[in-house]
Amino acid sequence: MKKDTDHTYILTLTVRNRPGVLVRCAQVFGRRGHNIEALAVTADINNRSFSAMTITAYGALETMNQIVAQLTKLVDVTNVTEEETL
Amino acid sequence: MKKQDINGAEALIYCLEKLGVEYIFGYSGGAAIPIFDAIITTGTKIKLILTRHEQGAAHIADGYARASGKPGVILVTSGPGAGNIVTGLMTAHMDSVPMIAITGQQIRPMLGLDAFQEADVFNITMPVTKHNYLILETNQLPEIVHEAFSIATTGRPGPVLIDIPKDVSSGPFTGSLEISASQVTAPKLATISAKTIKRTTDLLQIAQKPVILAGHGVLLADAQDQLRAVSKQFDVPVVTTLLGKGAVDETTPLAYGMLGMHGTAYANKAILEADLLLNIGSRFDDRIIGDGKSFGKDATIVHVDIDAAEMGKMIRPDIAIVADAKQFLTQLQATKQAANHQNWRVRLDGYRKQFPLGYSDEHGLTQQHILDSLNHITNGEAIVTTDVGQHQMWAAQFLKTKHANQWVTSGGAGTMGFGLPSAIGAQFACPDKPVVAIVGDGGFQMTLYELATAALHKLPIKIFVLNNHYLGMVRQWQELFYDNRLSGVDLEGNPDFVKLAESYGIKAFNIEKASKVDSIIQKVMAYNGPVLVNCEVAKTDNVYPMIPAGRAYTDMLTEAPTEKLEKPVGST
Ligand SMILES: Cc1ncc(C[n+]2csc(CCOP(=O)(O)OP(=O)(O)O)c2C)c(N)n1
Repeated sequence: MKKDTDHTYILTLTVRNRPGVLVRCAQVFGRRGHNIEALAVTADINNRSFSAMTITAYGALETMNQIVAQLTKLVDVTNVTEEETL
Repeated sequence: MKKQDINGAEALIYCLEKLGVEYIFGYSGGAAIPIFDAIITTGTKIKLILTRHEQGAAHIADGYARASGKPGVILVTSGPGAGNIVTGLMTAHMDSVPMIAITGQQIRPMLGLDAFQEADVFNITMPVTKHNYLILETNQLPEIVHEAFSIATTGRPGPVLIDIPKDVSSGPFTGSLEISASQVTAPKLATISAKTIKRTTDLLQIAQKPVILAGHGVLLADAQDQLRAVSKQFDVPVVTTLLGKGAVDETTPLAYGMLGMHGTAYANKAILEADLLLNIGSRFDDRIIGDGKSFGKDATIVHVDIDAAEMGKMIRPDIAIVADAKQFLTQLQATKQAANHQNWRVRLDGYRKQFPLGYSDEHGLTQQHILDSLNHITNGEAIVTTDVGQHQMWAAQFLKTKHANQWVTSGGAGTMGFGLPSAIGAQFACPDKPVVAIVGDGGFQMTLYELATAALHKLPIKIFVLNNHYLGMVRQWQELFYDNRLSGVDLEGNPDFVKLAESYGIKAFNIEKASKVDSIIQKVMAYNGPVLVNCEVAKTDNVYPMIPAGRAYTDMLTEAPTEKLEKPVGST
């Protein structure tokens, strides 16, 4: 259920193109009972060892910051940026 | 050894040896046979210790790691073998303990086909490891093994699992055993600015009532010497978390013991009244903060942690410093600044006198009495491991920890069954130090099969079963919060622990009377070999002080409440 304090965020991740990386990222959301609203993963055609992942999710800013911190911690995630949408 | 003549398993053992592995704690099975075989065919110096259960192996490796500071290594088979280490991985993960778990796996063509003993170990263990791997090419082994060690031991440490299909371990190895620098290097930490250090020293000097909260991070960073020096330099009282025990010498005047749910009253009073809280390497666990809204609300909070994800997770600090504890403390030390907080210390020492840790044997021999005697007889020099429950909290209160890596307990996960195997691991790590396991009659029975491992290797661990015939900690909650409706806590059917130990060839004693406590403990500690002591203790004693879960520090009970308590609504 969407609460007043919730907003939509778009997270953009750079991840190592290794088996399981999608599951690792999804688990960060799942463990908190958070839903991923939209998801896209694209290969970096210039460097096959990396992929870009775009995740859209609702939540409070604090929660989203915590999710970003947890994603950043994953060994196979090399970068995360967070952006609020309208 | 010519590299073209070796298989994947042999390459693995070669790498482990090169990385300084001393012991592999393991349990074999079909998918792991090639690796067990390689321990023989390579003629490695690594010693294989066969445990009696995979969970035992995991906790042994964990105890080894906590006592030695080096990663513990386990090797188990696929399916049920790997399934049995999940609790052990979780235990290590929650407490940031470096560990390497190697699991055998079905052959690659059988993955995902429900083949015999095939389980999706990669996905099962993902949330209970810092990182994990499924190796799909034999030649990847050296690089992955080195990377796994680097991940397990750097930054915030943790367990790393490597799942190896049997055809990968049996397949010919044609790669290079010499490792190029691992791709994954330790997370680079920003250096701590002079401004941040200045801000901290200013705060330490301005504060009237500063407290250092020392967590496991201090010990993991090997920063106990720096912490002790800084607390003296700035004259700041130190309280520790359950896992932070040993960050300060608990027998020295600036040490005020453990804080939190069952912390000392004076540690908790210090937190309640503090105007500056310098948290170094603790994650503000819910057992520490109680009610997050009121915790430290009158204090300036500085949080130092190597893990950026801990900043603001539970408590929003005024100053967040993502740094290695040793680096931070060394920089504080180097400022040569100082402070004096005598009035504050005197005040806290007043609380120390007003609310001492005490006990009375009026209603039967208490666990506290045994622990207090043990503390005196060992002069606080023994490595102590505990299980989980009331005895663990009393041990934390009464056994004063002097040194780093001397206190081994499952904090975050609270895993019953941890005490005995972790003592075995600690004794393997430190063969010349006395090792004592403090266990409840409940938790002991979860992993008592490892008595065989202790007996076989003549490990002189001293096991104290504090036998209250109950799952005491749960019984305490039922008494306090559920009108004493005891449900599923009576351990009727306990075996005769003395006879049980003797059947493994382990010397055993009973302690039943308070008058016998000292003489028996002296005899036990002097004996050169494993000993079990069954201590018949008061059945319905409760642990105090207590801040009920989710409640504020102002709600601390220093003794049995006279009114009925409300059920805790905060954390479990
Ligand atoms: C594996 C596991 N199962 C259940 C629990 C919940 N639990 C916490 S303390 C406790 C009672 C422990 O009893 P015992 O080992 O006899 O120690 P005591 O509290 O009596 O000292 C239980 C069941 C746990 N922590 N770990």
